[in-house]
Amino acid sequence: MTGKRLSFGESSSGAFSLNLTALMDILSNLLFFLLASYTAQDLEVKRSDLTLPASISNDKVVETLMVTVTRSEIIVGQEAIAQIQESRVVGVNDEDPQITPLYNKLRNIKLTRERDTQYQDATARDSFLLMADKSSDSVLIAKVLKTAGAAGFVRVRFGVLSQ
Amino acid sequence: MSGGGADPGAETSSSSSGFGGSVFGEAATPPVELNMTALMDILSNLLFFLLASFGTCVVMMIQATVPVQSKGKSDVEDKAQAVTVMVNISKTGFDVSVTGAVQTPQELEGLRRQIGASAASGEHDLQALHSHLVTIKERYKDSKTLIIVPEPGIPYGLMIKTMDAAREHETVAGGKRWVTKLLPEIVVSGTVK
Repeated sequence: MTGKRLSFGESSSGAFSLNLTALMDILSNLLFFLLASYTAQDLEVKRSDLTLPASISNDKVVETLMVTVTRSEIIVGQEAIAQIQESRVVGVNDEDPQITPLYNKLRNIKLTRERDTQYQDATARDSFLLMADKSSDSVLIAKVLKTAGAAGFVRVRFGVLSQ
Repeated sequence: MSGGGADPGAETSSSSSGFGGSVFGEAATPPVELNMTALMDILSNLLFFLLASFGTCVVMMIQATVPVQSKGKSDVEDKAQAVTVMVNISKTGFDVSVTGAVQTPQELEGLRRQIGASAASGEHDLQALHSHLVTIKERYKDSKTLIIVPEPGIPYGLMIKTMDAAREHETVAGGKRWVTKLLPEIVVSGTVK
């Protein structure tokens, strides 16, 4: 007798094939969703010394001048303006109502904006986005706001994390 | 005698049954095998990267204004159905006061409230603050301005939570969720020394 004799319960072949169609479908859907969500995000926060407070606000961020108050410094745009130590601005007295380097920088930006035809709308011209660490002292925040108001930026938008 | 165009060399076992080849004896098209390994590798890498970056943060904003000295109209409301609410944030709690140009002092004093820390958590009682602001809004429906005055030492995060407590009120009626604005116009002021 020729031919291989099968033993009990064994299949004739050890190979099997995986149908990846459903898995590819799920992965591609997930990928497209995440790609769309990733590109829809206009603003990213990637600083280790900045933790934004959470809020229930649903107002989307509008691109504008950004003033960042971290635990260690004050930044306007991408430029560090002043250092912070123990909730106090280095080089600025507590009695001073304004933060001088911040005022000078914001004032220059305001004067530039007033000459720029792009900022015809007063709302856009007078507003800025404040990104502050949630543990920042309110006195420091109030001083930043007062300085910005004196420089002409009277409309503030607080950047918060969506809750 | 062979048929026209037939190639005896192309004879296959399937030609006699009709599968895998035409009647003219063309070779059967071999099945195409796609190696998905590289594609799956790329997709999974991309997926993990997007999953990791998706959860970092979604940034929103709260609009407010800064108090500046002006020659124009005061922020104090001058309508019968509108008042200006001021919330002092101290370490011990909230001090809510109300100002208006039309209402009587007795009327406004009745809305003043000191809200201490929550008995359960020991923290600022935002729920009680929210409830009181809802009471004020129900009485003066045109009110929309809130002035926040934080004391030194109050963290910025608590200011944001106070704004949240004053922004809107959510109710459920008839199976539907209703959201009404409370005091959406926020002014942040400092303590006057």
